[in-house]
Amino acid sequence: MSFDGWIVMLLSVGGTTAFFFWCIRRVLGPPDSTDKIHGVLDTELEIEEEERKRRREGRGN
Amino acid sequence: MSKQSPENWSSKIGVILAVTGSAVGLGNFLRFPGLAAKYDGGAFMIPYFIALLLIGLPLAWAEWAMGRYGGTRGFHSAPGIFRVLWKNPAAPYLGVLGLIVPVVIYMYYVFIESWCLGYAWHYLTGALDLGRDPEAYKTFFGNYVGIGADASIFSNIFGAPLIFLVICIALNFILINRGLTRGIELFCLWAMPALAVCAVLVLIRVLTLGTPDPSKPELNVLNGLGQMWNLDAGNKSLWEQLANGKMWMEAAGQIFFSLSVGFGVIITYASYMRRNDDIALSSTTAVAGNEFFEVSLGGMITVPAAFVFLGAAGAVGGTFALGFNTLPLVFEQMLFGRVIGFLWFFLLFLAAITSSISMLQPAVAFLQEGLGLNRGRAVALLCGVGTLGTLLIVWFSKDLAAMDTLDFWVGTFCIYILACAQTFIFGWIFGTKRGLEELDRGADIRIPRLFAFVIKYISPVYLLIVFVAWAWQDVGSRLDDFSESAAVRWSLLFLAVAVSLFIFCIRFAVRHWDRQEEQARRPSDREVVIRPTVNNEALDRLVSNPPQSLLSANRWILTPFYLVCASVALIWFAAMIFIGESPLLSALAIFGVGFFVVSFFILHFLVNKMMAGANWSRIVFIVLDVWGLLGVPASLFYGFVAIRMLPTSVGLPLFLLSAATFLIPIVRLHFLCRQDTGNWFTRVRLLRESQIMDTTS
Repeated sequence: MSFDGWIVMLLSVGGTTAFFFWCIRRVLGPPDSTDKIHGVLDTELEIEEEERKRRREGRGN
Repeated sequence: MSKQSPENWSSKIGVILAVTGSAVGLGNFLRFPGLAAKYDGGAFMIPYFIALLLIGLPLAWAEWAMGRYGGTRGFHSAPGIFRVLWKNPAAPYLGVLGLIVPVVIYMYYVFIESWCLGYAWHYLTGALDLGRDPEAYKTFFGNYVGIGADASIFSNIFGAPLIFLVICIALNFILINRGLTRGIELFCLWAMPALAVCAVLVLIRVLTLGTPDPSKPELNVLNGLGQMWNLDAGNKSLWEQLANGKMWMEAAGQIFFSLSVGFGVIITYASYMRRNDDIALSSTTAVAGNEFFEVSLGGMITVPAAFVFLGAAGAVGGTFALGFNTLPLVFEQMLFGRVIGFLWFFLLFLAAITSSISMLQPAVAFLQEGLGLNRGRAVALLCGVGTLGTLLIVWFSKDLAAMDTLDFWVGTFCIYILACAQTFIFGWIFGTKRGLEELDRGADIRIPRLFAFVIKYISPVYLLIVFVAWAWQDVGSRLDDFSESAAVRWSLLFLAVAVSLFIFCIRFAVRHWDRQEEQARRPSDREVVIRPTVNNEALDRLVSNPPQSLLSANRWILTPFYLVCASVALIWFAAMIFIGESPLLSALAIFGVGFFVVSFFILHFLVNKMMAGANWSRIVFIVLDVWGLLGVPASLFYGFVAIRMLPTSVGLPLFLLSAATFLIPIVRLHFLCRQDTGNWFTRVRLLRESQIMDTTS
């Protein structure tokens, strides 16, 4: 096995293995609060939107 | 929207393992190493990873986003989801590819799955100790799958191939009948770790092989790994290797098929995610899982093992040759070969079954939400159709012709088309902005913003180039097979019938969904009662003025359409008589003419009745649909006859003409009449209802 073969193997096998285990760690580990900002904002916006809709419906009746 | 009870994945890891299980299959352990060895190892990895970044990951993210978006609106099948994403009457019909691709691939995949289970069993019982003669393994495989003659497997009803096939079919349908969480998810939660354990055990054995034959010191594990990963395994430089366009094409194809993008499976699986579940990390993990199994495990096992015992020539081969001929020979020469052989084929069986169950779910979801069937009935119906297709493939087993044909036209051609359609819908219809918003909702990781540009511009171009290059190279020779093989003709006829059936079902499903949405929009009962009543004169006036499109359709489309059809059939009939092919063909031609003439009169009668005010639109549409259902196989049949009897240059245009003669007017008439007649009958019905209410009050 040549030197470049070692490099290709380590990059390919090491890269995909590291990528997979990084993903698994993120899935099984506790969520990172900074990354969840989208979700929180979306949920708040949705709640506000629903409340607004309910208020509008209430006025309609 | 669908009225089925909502079904969701019970855990995040469950859905990730289910999607990874769907993607991990024989391609990971056999096709990928075979391709890498074919293209001198390491150089292949460069186009492979570029394709992963430009096609694989973007398409996977797009499918997850579209699936979850459709799922939160009550749809779990490609026709329903496409209908939500794209407000175009043709959108749900495009979704037929998302049904036909997984179902047809299941039909032959379950047969391959049964080989893996059968081989695992034979290793366990010692029936595969065939010595060191390569021909013995080839003969065993040939006899097992019936490669020598059509229907040879059926010569022994209680033989191992059929028994294992029945076991695999039963297992698939039992698992799918148990439902999403108790069936697919639970099974994958056990099967995927078991698959990983089997693969790691086999990997350890391969990496500890050393130099099994001291008289051939060059055949050792390190050189085996070199065969797989060296950049300069051949005599060409790296740049010369990278200039090989076919390698880029095959690398893109491998990524594409390995990740199960364009299958219609991911979009269905993702539709069972909740509105605020993470899909960004889940989709990335599923892709990473597939790559781990493919590169880190598959890439380290197959080629090095084959090289160590058989040399460089033994490490190259197609999927089946490598898996079922070469590797059993390798296991025979290996210490603990019987155990490793069992583990290897059992892991292939697990990889296959986690994929095959995923192929059934899209159709089950469609039958449930589109036709209103409960899960048991949907599974039973699919079991019937799926088993019929599998039997056809098993029957035409000579040179695996039926399997090869369906794999080419469905497992490759249709997948490219579906992937192109999905990229187009996501990038240009749904919009990358909304797509990214969907991916970001509840996301545990942030998808790079560059994704929007890649999926909109780069992926479609890349896909199109690969598709055109592939079609240029392969499709021409496949068209010639029409006239040469009965297995090819029967397989395509079956495919045409299956596509027609699904289109027919989508037609019903769309009307079902339209009705549900209309009911949801309909004013309350109180409003109907207070609606001002109308007199008989208004109703008479409306009834006596049918929609103009219906009149013009009857005058300009329906009549000429049948006249052309009858003329085409008469030409075929005359051609068959003149050439004197066979009495059977003549009889079929006469039947064709009779069918055209009778249908013409029936439809003419029905349309006239409609214009006289009878609410028979439903019957007319059903007749049209049945006509379309029969028309597709009929046109294919006449086309085959034309191609067989005439030179391809004349036969092929005639075949296309006959197909177009059947299909174009049906589609045109359908869309022309549907809107106007629908509105017209709704107005007539409302007027009649209000009159009845007026009378009773």
